[in-house]
Amino acid sequence: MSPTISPERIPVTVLTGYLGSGKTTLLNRILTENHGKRIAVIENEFGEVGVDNELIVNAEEEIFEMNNGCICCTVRGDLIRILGNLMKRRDRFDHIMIETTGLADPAPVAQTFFVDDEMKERMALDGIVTLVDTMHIWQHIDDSDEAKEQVAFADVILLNKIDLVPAPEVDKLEARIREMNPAARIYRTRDAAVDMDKILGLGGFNLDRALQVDPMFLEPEYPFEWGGVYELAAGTHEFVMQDGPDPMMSIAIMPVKTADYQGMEGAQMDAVLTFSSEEKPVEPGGAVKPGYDLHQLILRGDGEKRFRVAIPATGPYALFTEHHPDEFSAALHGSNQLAPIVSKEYKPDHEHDEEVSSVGFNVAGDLDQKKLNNWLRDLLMKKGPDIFRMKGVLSIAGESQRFVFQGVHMLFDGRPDREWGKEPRHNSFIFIGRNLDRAALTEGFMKCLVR
Amino acid sequence: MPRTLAPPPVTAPELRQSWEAHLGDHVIQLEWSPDGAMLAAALIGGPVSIFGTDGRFLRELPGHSFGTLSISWSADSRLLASAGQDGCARIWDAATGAPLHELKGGAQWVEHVAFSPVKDYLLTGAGRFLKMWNGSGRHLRDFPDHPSTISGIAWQPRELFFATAAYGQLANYHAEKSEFGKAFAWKGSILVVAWSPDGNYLATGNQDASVHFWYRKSGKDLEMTGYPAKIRELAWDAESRFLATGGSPVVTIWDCGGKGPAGTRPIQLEGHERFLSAMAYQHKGKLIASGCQGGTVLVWNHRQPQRPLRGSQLGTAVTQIRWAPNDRMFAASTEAGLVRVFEKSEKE
Repeated sequence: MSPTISPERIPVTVLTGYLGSGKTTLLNRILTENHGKRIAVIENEFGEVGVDNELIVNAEEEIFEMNNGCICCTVRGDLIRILGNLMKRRDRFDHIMIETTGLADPAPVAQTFFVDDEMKERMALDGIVTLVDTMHIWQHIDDSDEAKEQVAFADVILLNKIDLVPAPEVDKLEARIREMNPAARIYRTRDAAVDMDKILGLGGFNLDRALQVDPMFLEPEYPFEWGGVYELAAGTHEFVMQDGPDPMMSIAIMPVKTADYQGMEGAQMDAVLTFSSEEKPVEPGGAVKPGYDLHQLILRGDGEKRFRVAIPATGPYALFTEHHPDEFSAALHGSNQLAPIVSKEYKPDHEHDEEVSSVGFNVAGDLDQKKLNNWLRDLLMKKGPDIFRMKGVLSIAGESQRFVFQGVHMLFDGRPDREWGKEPRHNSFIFIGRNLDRAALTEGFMKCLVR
Repeated sequence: MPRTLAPPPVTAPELRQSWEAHLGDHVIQLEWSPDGAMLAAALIGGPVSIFGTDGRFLRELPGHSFGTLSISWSADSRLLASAGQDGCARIWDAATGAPLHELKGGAQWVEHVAFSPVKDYLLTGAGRFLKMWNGSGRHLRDFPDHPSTISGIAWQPRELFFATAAYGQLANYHAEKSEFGKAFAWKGSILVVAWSPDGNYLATGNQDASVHFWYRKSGKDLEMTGYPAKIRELAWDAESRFLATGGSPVVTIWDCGGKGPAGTRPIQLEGHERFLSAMAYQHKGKLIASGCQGGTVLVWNHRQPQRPLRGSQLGTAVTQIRWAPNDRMFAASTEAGLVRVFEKSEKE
């Protein structure tokens, strides 16, 4: 059988939000504004769009579970039937908008465009737009799974009715939502007034924009708190530590290409991998060698402790420490105390009290495709129900094009994108879900990098 | 719909074409009148065209604004019923094209309309609502609301039983009895229902890429899985023994005779390059015609499964195939609006 080459797929936008959040107002805008697009609207059963238009179809949300019981195969049967029919019509449309009811779980509607072969061939999920009633969301956000899921699934979040709420309250809400879903674009609106190009034609795969939102967010949480680059002469140096809060501390030292930030950043991933390997205990007076060993300095008892650092060749080296050296008044000494040329504090593991949260990475390097596939398959099999969304731009070893993908629960849709060209190869990856294990996800992802 | 793939070549000898018509829109349903004198073709955009057996264009019915979804002939071939997206079913005089009756189906889309092949009854299915009428447009009966949208209605070919499908159940009713027949509860989404011609078996094609098969009397059931895609194509042979199924590029035929298909290997007819989209067995004869997304139509004798007997390329995805009541010709339609009628050659 030869593969089916699809004609251009029609983009689908899913509109979610609680009753009263402004979905109908937004739909009326979409249908009346002169944006030059022919849009078919699938309205929910309580929908009350006031525009007379033959491309508005009312649908009862019919959730079809499959016999295999897999929640990821759960789809909206009504959409398959209605859209299957609309797609056969000669008077084609440019875009499909699907309104869900207030309490809807966005997953089945999104999954419909991944699971059903007919839908998949002719349509593609462009984005999930969630309207938030800024005034009333606080009543739901803490105890409603639906409210959390609607925020977590969104590609675009409209904080609507901001005219009814003082600005500091909106700021507080935005921060809260940002914590749950940092990849979404957030706009503040009144009467759901928003430019159409902010909600339609997101491209689903156009992640560059989405992933640039908060660079700090995309930093992995490093297993070390501090790194510094030194210019070291060949010979023996000492790492000198005073009393501190912990009975041990892991460090790694490794050669870098240049004695600057680029040099340190180039070594970061190696350091992450090193910190995930087994520690080698070193007693005071013992020796630490540059390379990819993780040295666990033993700090029992009071008083200053010295560890020898044997440098085989003069050059720039990076030192990464589990805790900030200041906590131990620790420093590297040659003949005198040495200061790092550059240093960086890494984002500590911070506490996440949100049940719904996100984990993202933005790291240089190439991924081993086989390892990545195996890891993702395994991960999604075990954690699929808890992973709501997954998006990424990846650098696959041996491929000249960027690989972009997005997913909903266990399902994902990916494809090669433009050439990397001169752009530095890197991987941006984000998970949004419930009870995500940040450390495990980070470690699993890092292990897929080609060393 | 534009396709970027060229239609695949057909390797079988060319079918004998009787006539063709270009309607310019997706043909959603084709039906021969039971007397074999007319062929109706419904377009997704609304109009329904009626042709004579020789291909002469007889008339066009306007159908339904926003689109026609289903058509059905009355047993005496005098009436044609249609249903559509304007919330109505309509009954037309097939000989004049005059609209006779308008029936309110109960929901925005009336997706199913089905005349009984035995008696003057007409069923409409709209959303979860099932209603029965007669050819004079009289509302006879409402059946209980279904648990979800009715996805299929099929009269048992010889009696007044009929089956309806919805998500979660396949139900059996009798047109004249008040108690309702057996409902086979089954957690799954049924896309299409087909009775065996002898009325003993019900087969369903399903969203979860399976075929389900029920013995009507005992309710015993079987499931055939492992298809690459959802099943929308089912066809029974004249003997009620072989069930042909789609869901892939291969016509997969189960032998339901004897102990049934459980544990057996199906007959597989390989010749289509793309997924199947239509198929039909002859009413009395042994041939099956199949059509695919790539526009190929093939005719087979499944007792000689190695290669198709004849074929033709229709240019775009085949939407429907129907054998004429006399089995000597069949019609095939496409999503671009081509209707082509083929004649069976004598030796087949």
